[in-house]
Amino acid sequence: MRVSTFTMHQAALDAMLAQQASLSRTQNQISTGRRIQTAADDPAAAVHVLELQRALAAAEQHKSNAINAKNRINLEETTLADATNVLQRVRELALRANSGIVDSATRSLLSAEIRSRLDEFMSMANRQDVNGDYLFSGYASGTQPFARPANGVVQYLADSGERQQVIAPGQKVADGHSGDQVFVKVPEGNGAFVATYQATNTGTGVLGVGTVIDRSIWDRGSYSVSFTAPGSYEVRDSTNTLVTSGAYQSGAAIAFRGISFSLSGAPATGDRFTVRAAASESIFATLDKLVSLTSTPTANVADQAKLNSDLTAVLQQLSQGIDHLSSVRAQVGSRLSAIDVADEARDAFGLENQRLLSELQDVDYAEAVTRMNRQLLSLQAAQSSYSRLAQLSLFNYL
Amino acid sequence: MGDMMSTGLSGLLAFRRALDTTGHNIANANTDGYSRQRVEFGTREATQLGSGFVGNGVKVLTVRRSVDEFLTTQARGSASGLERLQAFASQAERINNLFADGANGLAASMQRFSNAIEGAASNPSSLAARQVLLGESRSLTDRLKYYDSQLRGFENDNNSRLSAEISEVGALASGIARLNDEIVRGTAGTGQSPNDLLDQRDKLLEELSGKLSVQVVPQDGGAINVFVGKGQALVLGGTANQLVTATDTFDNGRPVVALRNAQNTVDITNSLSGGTIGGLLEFRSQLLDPARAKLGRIAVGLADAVNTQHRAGMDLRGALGTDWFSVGGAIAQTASSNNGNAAMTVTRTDTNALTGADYIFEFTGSAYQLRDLSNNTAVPMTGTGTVGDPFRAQGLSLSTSGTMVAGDRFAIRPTREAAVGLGVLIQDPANLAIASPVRTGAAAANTGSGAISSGLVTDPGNPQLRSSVNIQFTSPNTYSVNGAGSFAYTPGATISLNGWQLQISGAPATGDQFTVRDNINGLGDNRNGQLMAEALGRKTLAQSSASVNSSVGALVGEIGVATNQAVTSRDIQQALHSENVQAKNNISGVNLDEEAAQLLRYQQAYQALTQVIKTASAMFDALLAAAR
Repeated sequence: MRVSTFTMHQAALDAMLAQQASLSRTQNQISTGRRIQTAADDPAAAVHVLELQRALAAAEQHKSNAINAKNRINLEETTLADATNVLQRVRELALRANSGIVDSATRSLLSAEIRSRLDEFMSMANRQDVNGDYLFSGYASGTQPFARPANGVVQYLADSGERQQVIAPGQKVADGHSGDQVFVKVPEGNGAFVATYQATNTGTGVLGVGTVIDRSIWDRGSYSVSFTAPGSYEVRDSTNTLVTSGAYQSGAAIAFRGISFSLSGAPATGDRFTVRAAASESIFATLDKLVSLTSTPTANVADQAKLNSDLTAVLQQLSQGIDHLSSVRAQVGSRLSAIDVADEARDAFGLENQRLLSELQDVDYAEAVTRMNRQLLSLQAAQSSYSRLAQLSLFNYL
Repeated sequence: MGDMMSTGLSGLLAFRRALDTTGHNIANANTDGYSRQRVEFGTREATQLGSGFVGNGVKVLTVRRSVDEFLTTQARGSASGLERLQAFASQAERINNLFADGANGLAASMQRFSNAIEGAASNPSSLAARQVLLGESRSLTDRLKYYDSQLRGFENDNNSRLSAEISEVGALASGIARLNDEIVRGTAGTGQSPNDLLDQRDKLLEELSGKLSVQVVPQDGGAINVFVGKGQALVLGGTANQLVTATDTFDNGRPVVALRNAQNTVDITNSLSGGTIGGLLEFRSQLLDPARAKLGRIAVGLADAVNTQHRAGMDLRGALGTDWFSVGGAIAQTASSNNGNAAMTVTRTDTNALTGADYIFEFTGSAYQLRDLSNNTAVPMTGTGTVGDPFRAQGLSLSTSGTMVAGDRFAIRPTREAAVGLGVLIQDPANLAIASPVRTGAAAANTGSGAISSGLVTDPGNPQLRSSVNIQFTSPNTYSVNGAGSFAYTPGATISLNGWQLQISGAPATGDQFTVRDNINGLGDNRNGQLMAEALGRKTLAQSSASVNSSVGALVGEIGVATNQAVTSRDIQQALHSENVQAKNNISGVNLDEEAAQLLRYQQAYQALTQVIKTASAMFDALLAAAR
């Protein structure tokens, strides 16, 4: 086969140019550390790389969301712990006020401390985070949640919203509780029913703590316990139908419709006690009640009996409040641990994504350097063989 | 002796020609398109004597160039294919490199925007976070517009290259026509072929094939005719028709290829293939147009997803959200050839149904047709085409006013100009609607275990949206709304009213109350922000197959695949073309060693013949001396 001189030179040149092009590509890969320079180098991998980069960037955002949530939740946890301490202190004061040896004057001293504790409690419920947002005002983060308007009753002015933070794809965690959930919707009494006395009672019957004996029988109705004689009572429902009646014994339980509460002292004939289903009571209302009970002097034994009934109820309500705060704190703890779990999962996922990303787009140096050496070798071989071939010509011998 | 002298002389002359030709070959060893030439010898007519025929020496029959027409045609064909792929691949590589920018690319920009929404949602009352979000939304639109303007820049480049190539074709065609004339004239006088002219014409033909595919038909007398496209004559003997740049019938900024002969000018764009021109046209219609349309669709998807959710939200001042992004509308381009006076209105009605394709709307005289340009198939339409009942197809609504005449056409480009019109309409970060306009709550006095969901706005346009609503349970299984009616309660079932939706679950007690209220003070609410971030990740594009976020990656991938294919095919074609050229050169190219050998051979023959003459002369001298 004859080969034209032009072809021979051209072919050698083309081959060398091609070698140089692949060398420069390899060199570029080694210097940037990237196997994929553009999407055309490996379209499927390039799209995958974009997806991974997106997931990594999204994880960064979720991490920052989780930090925000954690900061707020930690602050909430501290506040709730403080609030619980205050309630516990108040409960001790209330216990002291309820003991028989305390007179009106001492009670009013206790009352003063309770009042200052109430203010402290209020400031906790109105606590703000670093951004000036109220911790316990739901969505209305700029609205002070609790205030005491002219009528003297503490009111909740914000809403029941619960802000969620996205901490992982598809996973949200609330970064707080609304104030009404924490401080307002505290189960009343024992959580099932509330027993109260009638203001016109003249005897010394003191209400004790009530319990539910059988939740399946308790029908959440309203009942009245009236004393037909100092030693006997009857229980009627809201339609005035007799439910049960019995002989009264001081300190013994009065039980009907699955509930039971104790009554002690000596109720007078015509004295009445009512029972109704429990709703909820704000902690502020309980504290207000305690302040007013401790600051009002007692005039006679009937008043003292009412005071004792009321203080017993308030003490129970304070326990409810402390329990309620504990259960909110338990939720807070579970949210924190959910964030921790999500953080760990995100970190592990991020590492795996990084590894995949590196596998997809990073150059394998050992392979690339070997390839470069091979390409260098063949380019050198092409150059040296060409320069020798080009010298050959018959004209040299003419 | 006279015979011997003349025999020797004939040889001297013949080998002189052979040496001349060898010299010509050596001189043109590096001339592109040159075919080596060979002198063909023949014996001169013999003298008949009684004793037989005595030879009279040698003569030159012809000077022939070494060509193989089959190989030449093959090389021409592969040159055409190579130039097409070269043009396509080099343009495609530019787009591909444009989208290759990972850290500052479109996907990164989109993700930063999405993260900024979540960042603002994480801290909704923070003006700083809102400012960041607004800034990211601006840089995202800037980014989308930048890519679109780059694509438009590529289109302009592509168009000017196309015009330049078209005018070069004119020069080549005229050159071929002129050579045709000269070759016919040269051949006619002598019957010999004018080798160098033929080489030149072959070279022009090869260059022409590099511009576009041609069919070459030889004529008697040495001329050739050149046809392009579907048999349109570019060169007929000594006349060349002009290939010119005309404007697209739908878009006067878009050059197309037309052939002008004595009678008229015909648009032959769609019948052209191969060569640089074919490659540039192909790039424009198969990569550039779809890329712009799809980039536009991302812009539409972004604006639609974010605006819809943003309108369902509430800003820091308590007002309902307004449109966040503006976006360019769908356009209809009227064909300049239309005879009717009809005007077309096209609007996008369903972003999810948009295919990213462009369309031709045509009136056949009896029916209206919509044709998808990406696959050239008819698309079924519903409706009658009036303003009240427009044609509907693939997320578009089309209506015409005026009269359409048979053959009238419109080009429909649903998303092509969308990115151009992209902008951020919100100026004040406080106007970002990250909160939801309604909130729900349960009364503190509730005794049951019923819980109410946080509510979802489904129709922000409802005038009663933010009105207070009280849901009171009249029994454990029924509830009234604002004190009226009695509705059966199913735990967890959706309750829709006033443009919102919510669920109540658990066991509410009789008398329990749930409320829906205006969330006017909800500065710390982030529900709508989270819904916006979710909307970007929801599959709301391309028939629910892609999200706004993922469609960026898909576009980059599509361009990558097209570029990868183009580059690979180009490399394969390059190898094929090299082989063809080599095969052709193996026949036609000059080998200097061969020429050196020829030089030696002819020189030796020439020297030998001078000896013949010398011998004849010596014989003559001897004869004269004998006679003296």
